[in-house]
Parts: sequence; structure tokens; C-alpha cells
Amino acid sequence: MARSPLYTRRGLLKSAAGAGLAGAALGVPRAARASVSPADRKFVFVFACGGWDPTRVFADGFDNPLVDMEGNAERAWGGDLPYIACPSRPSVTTFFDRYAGQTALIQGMLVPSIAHEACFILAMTGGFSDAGSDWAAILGAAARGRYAAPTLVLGGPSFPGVNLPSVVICGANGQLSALVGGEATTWSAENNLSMGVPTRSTIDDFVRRRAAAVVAGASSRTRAQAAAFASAHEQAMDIKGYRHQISFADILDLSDAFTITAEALSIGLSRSVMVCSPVSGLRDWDSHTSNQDLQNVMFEDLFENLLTLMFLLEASPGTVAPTLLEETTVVVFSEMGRTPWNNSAGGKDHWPYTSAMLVGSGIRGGVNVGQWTDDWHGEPIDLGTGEARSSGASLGTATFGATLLTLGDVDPAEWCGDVQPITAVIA
Amino acid sequence: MLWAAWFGCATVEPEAEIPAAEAVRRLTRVSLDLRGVRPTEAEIARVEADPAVIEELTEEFVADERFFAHLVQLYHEIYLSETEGIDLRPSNIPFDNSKAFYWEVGQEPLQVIGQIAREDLPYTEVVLGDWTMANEHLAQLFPVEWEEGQTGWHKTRYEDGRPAGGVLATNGLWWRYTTTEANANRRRANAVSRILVCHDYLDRPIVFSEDIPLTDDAAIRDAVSNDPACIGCHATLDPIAANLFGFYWSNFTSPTEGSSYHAAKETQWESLLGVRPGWAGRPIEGFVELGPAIAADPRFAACAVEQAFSLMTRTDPDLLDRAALIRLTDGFVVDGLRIRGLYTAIVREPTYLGESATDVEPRLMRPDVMGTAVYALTGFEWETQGVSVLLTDAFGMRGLAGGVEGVLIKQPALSPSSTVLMVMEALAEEASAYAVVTEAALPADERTLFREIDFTETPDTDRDAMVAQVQALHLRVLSQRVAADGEQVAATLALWESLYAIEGDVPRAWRGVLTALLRDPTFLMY
Repeated sequence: MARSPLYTRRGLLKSAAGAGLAGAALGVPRAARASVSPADRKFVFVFACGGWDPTRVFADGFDNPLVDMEGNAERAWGGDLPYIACPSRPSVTTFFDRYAGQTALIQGMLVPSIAHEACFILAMTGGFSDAGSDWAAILGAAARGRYAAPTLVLGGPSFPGVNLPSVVICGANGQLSALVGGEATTWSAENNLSMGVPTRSTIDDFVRRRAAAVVAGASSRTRAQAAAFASAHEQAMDIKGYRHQISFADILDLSDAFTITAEALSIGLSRSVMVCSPVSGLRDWDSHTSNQDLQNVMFEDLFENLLTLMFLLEASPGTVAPTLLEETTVVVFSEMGRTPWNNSAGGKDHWPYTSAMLVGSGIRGGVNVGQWTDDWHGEPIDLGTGEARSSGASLGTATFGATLLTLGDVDPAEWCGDVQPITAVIA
Repeated sequence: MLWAAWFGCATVEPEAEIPAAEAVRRLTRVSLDLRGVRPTEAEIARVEADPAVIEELTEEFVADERFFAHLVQLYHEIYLSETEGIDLRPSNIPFDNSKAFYWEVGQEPLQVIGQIAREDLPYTEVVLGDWTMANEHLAQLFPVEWEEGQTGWHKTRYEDGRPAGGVLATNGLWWRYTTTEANANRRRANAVSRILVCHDYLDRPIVFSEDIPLTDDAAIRDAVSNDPACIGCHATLDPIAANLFGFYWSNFTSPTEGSSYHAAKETQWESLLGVRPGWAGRPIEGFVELGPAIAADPRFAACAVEQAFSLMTRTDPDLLDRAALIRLTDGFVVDGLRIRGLYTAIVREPTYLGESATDVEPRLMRPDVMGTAVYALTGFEWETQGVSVLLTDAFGMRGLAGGVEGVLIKQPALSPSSTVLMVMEALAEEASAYAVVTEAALPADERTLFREIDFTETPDTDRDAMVAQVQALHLRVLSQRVAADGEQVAATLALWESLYAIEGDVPRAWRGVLTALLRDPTFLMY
């Protein structure tokens, strides 16, 4: 018999999120913001896979004849923060009405390619090599000893690089759940020798002792791998210890992914979580045809679910602050932008300049960094004020990454060279 | 020694005699690296008696069907094509494509490589072959010759008039690497360059000139042709792209358009690129000459060697021993570009084992090798919902097991991680249960693992048989000889007794022991 969705923890959270959003409409006050050390800050990365069109929500091109804006869209303000509102995207308006004071926008960020896979790497690592380490993995690894799954990847690209030991991939259909909960050992119809917990624990201990013995007998050349095995074994046991507190199964939509995200952060399982829109990891944002319809649906779905995420973060206890929202930074970005104009199929093609959004802990709200040129490039900026300045710094993915790492108390010099962060967005 | 003569000029010193234990370790690595299984007891015994036998065994390994199957998985790390995340997703496919169809499509060029090794053809067939590989699913959609009722992968030919081109003429490669009008096959051109001559244009830092108005098509075309920041790549990239318009589709959801070759589109380079077909700075007459041009390019053979050496040693190509690469390339050419000979030479290279032949850094098993190694020992094949757990990602666990998904994960894990161990744990439990149940129903002499016991003995009733069985399991599963009165046997017997005390059942206790051995660090790392 299928369980009623409400009688799972996830179902209760989702239901509460819906009620919470209703409550928010009545003006229910939110908790005061606590100050959190960057070393304790958590991160949610929300990746719009395929290349979003910033002109739907972030980028104002109304006065630019090159830019095809939507006919029924208009400029709007969430406090001091400008955005694009449209009647067919009410969730965007609700989001900015509630959270503009905790949100910063970045305009005209350069991703120097228009090839999806190259742009994945560029947007997530600042470089061209798929052997590099992405921002989520770096931030998770910086706190590796404190979390069983420092970086949890629920979907989307993953470039762990040297930080692989800190990265835990969930699988396209939540396969991690089957491993953690033991269901993977029932996939085979041929297995009719079930293994109970005492037996499994005995074997776990045996493997642990064997791993220690291999480390003890290792030479200087072989010790690293032996130690990696021993460490991975302990980490796997730790993660399995959370099996009654969190399930990674059934990630059918963004709402499911965000619910798991809030759970993972709240129970102290992870420091950074990577989520993909859509959850399938396919490039559904890639609107070479029907840009208006497709981007409309995708942005409305994204922001509707971001509202759920924000509610969940507000409603969930933090590990160092009263609520998760006070200790979590939400990073919303895409691997590229789209051409300012429509093509002959009503779509928009790839464009190397894009926008990004930062919300929550450590973010100076109401700040709109960067500016679009007449040719729809990104202007150089003053990193301290966020204003366009011809002699300013180029706003690229390494700058973006340096900003995120600074927010997470990681020295960006180790990963981004001499590229400086955008201090204008850091509270 | 044979391998020195094979090289022609003996620039490598013959190996000093190596102790038996080290020879077995080397044998284990060669066996797992080439055919994805551990050496048998008989093979171990032969090498212990005479370490030089490894050379003869290596020749056998590269003629083994499991080597050809392993190559398919190895080359996925280069081609990145065996993925459910493939670009082209036609609608109205005439069969259930919900599971692994796209993964199979992407396997087509990899199966070509496996077949080249199987038939011991020259490696130039990769770009010259007038044939391809297909299975019953691809044959329902692709215009290939196919015998009704045939299943599995078979050599075949396209019937749509496409020129010969080896992997370049496979739908699988182009379904993985699609293009758009604006892109005009440049993405595909880079794939050709990266995969076949090891030149990735995206490795070069791209200086994005902010002076070029991207809103002006004419300015962009001019920049691509004349701007110093652009022509460094586009001068050679665009002519490669110009060869590929026979595979150019406008409708990404049409199953027929994406499956057929379009000779009428071959000249679309005129309107979409404005650059004539070429290769390496020389004009050619289009796709029909692309394969021969690549085959004649000295980078082609050198790249093949670099890729194979990198895959086998799990070393970044930039860090490979250059002298070894030169030796191997010279030998590859002399040998007529045979894959089997190349891989044989690689495992005989002094640097194959790393910096020290006697103190070898362990290597993590690839997910496909986890599967083949366990299957060889237990007969267990791990599937879920009709797909392989260790080779796929949408429902399987390839990425979690440290493998390359192809689009979202492009680098293999080189060290064990928590999910790698969790996958191995689940596999070990499943496989050990299967092995025990299966073997308990067989006479002892027909079993693979449990030949020393009858599943009735305990340490109290027949300790000698128990000890012999534990020793045998260490040899068969971990390729290690352990002393009857040594620590490892004592520890394993103690484990058995603990499990028997919990389970109260002899087969279940052995199942637990086998599970533990399959989860041993020296099983997963070799």
C-alpha cells in the first residue's frame, strides 16, 4: 500500500512549505538575522542547466533596440533591487517582494564560451579543465572534518577534482538512497540470503580493521591510497548513520530536491548542496526555439520552488544560527545567457554573458552589480561598489567564484589566482 | 627477451629477475587492466614458477574477448559518448527507449574500437572503416544491414550511402556531439580533433575580445577569419567543421533525419561557414577525404598511444613519460598500428607500474572492472530495471562508483570515495549471496570459489578444511597466498565464527566472509 505523501517527513515539509507561503502572504514576520562566521556558512547551489535568458527576470533591456523583451513584462522593484516582472510569473514577483532585501544580482558576467559543456566547467570552476574543482566541492572540502557528506550533489554537473573525497553524488534517480538504506542489495531477484544489521556491522568492523592494517603496512608510496580507503570507509559508515533522518529517493522535481537540501543542511550532513533545474540534468533551459514560452515556464517553476526553499530554510533549525536561512547562502546561476534578440524560430541562441543571483547569509541585499552595454556585453565593474567603471575589473566566472569562496572563508587565491571577489555583494 | 626484439632497437634494459610475490602482483595488475578479471589460480601458479610467463599470458590476455569488451568501456573515457545524457533525443522512437537506448547509441563508436581489436585490424580503421557496429535496438532505427532476429552487437554497414569514415561515420558519435546553425559543426570539429589527434581547442585560454560586437554577425565572421585572438583556433577548426555537413540536421526531434546521412547537405559549409573543408591547414575534398587525412596525420598514431598509455596508467597525458611515449609510438607504427600490440607493449613498459616496479601505488578499480571481476568469481551480473548497475547512470550507479557519466561527470575517480565503497558493499553482498546459493547446489569440483568445503563444516568439526577454504578464497578473490597459521587466516576464521554465531547457518557465514573479502581494500585497489 502506498503511503500517503503527508505521512512522510518530506510530505509534511512540503505541506508546511505551502502553508508557510500562505502565511507569508499575511505578513508573518521572519526571524531576525543572526551573524554567522563565514567558516560556518552553508551553501545551496541552484544550477539552471542549458542557459537561461536573463532578460526574463534579471536584465533590463527595455530601452535597448537590440533586446527582445517580453511584450507584457515591465520593470519592477523589490525594495532597492530592480527586476523584471511579468503577469505570467507571479512567483518571481512574490520572491522579490519577500527577499529582495537579502538578494544581490550580478549582471553581465562573462562565461568565455558558448558551448554548453565548456560553459558548465567555466561557470562552476572558473577555468577550462574538467579536472578542476567546482565551487561547491571546494567549499564542502574546506569543512570536510565536520560533515559526513560535505558536498552533496543532488543533480547537475559535478567537477570534484582533487576534492572528490568530499563530494557525495546522489544519482539521477536518488540511487544514493538505495545504498544508504540497503535497498540496493535487494535489486537482484536472485538474492534470497538477506543480511541483517548485526552481520553487516560485523563485516563493517572487519573491513575497518583490514583497512587499518593495510595503512599500517603501507609504504610512503602506497599510504595515500590506503588512507583514502580507510577514510572513505569511515565516511560511508557516517553517511549511513543518517539513513533514518534523510532519504534521497524520489527526487521527482525541484521541490523534492529542495526539501532534501534543507534536511541535509539542517541535520549537519552537508555544508554545500548542488541542485539542478531541471532535476533530470537535461538542458531544458536551452531555448533555441520558443524562448518566450520555455523560459516563462522554467523561470516560474524555478522561482516557485525557490520560495519553497526559502520557506524551508526559514523553518528549519540551523546548526549554528536559529534558522538555516541565517547561515545559508543560496547561489542561483546558469552556464550561459542567451542572445538579446530572437532568432527565426522564436528562440534565443547562446550568449557568453549571463546573470546570477545570491540570496541569504552574508549577502548585502538590494545590490545590483554590473551593467549591460548597448551591445549586450557586461561592463567592467568596481568590485567594491558594484558600479560599472571602464577601468574596473572584468566580471567573469573566476570573479564570481572568488566571491563565493570568500563568503565561505576559503582563500580564493588558491583557486582563482589573483582574481578578487565582488566585495560589493558581501555584507 | 621477446618484447625487446619487438621494439626493434633495445633501448629498454631487460628486467632483472623479480621475486614470485612481485610477479603475482604484476600479473594481477596486468590481468585486471587488460581483461578486467583477476588471474586464475593456474595463472598465478605458472607465474610463481616462472615470472617470465607473464609475457606469454599478456599475449593471451589481449586476445581474450574480455579485453575487447573492456576497451569499449576504457574508450568511453575519451569519447564520453556512452551516456544517457546524449544530446539528440528524437521523438516517436518505435520501441521502449526509456532505459538505456541513448547509452547504446553512444556505444556505437566504442564498439567499433572493440571490433578493431577483436579482428586485430590496423588502428586506422577507426577513421577508414566502411563498416560499423549495431545491436537490435539501433538496427530498428538506423539504416543498417541487419539479419532479422539477430541480437547483440554485430558488425554491419550503413545503407544510406554515407562515405567510409570509421567512427566519424557513426550516428553514435554525432548524436553525442550535435550542433546548431550558429555553431556550424565547430563543436563536432573540436570533438574530432580532441578524440583523434589529442588536440582540444578548448584547452587554449580564450581571450574574449570585448571589442568585437557580438551583436554584429558580419563583425563576428570577420573576427573569426581575421582577428588574431580568433584565428589561432578558427583557422584550422572551421575547415574541419566544413567536412561534417552530411551529418547536419535541422530537426532535432526527427528520428529519421538524425539517423541518416545527407549527401545533399555536404556543401552547406558554403553558406554556414564560408570556409572550405580541410585538415591541418590543407584543403581536402570533404568527408570522403577526412578519414584518410587523419590517418596520414602523424598526430593520429601518437595520440592513440598517448590515450592508451594514459588510460592504462591512469596518468594525466601531460605527465606521461615522454621517452616511453616515443618508444611506444615507434613500436606501434612498426607493428602496423595494432591495438593488441600497443597494449602489450604498454604493460611491458617499466613506467607502467609507476615510479617503482617493486613498490607499486595501488590503482582503484573502474566500475566496469568491479563488475567483470566479481562476475568471473561469482557468476553474478548486477542489473536493475534491465540495465547494468555499474555501466549506466540514470538508474545505475556508474558515477557513484567512480565512473565517467560522460556529460555531467567527465573524470573518473582515482581514489576511493564513500560512494565507491558503498557501491562495492552492495555489489559484494549481492554477489556473495548469489555465489553461495549457486555453489552450495553444485558438487565441489564444479564450483569456482568453495571447492574445499561442503557447507557443513565448522572450525570445531573440520578445522583443516576451513583453513584450506579460507586460504583458497584469499588466493582466488585477492590473488594472495596466505599462510595457514598466519594472521589473515586467523582473522578470517574469527570473522566466520562471529558470523556463524549471529546467523546460526553455515552458508550464511561463508556468504559473510566472501562479502568481506570482496570489500577488502586489496580487492578494490590493486
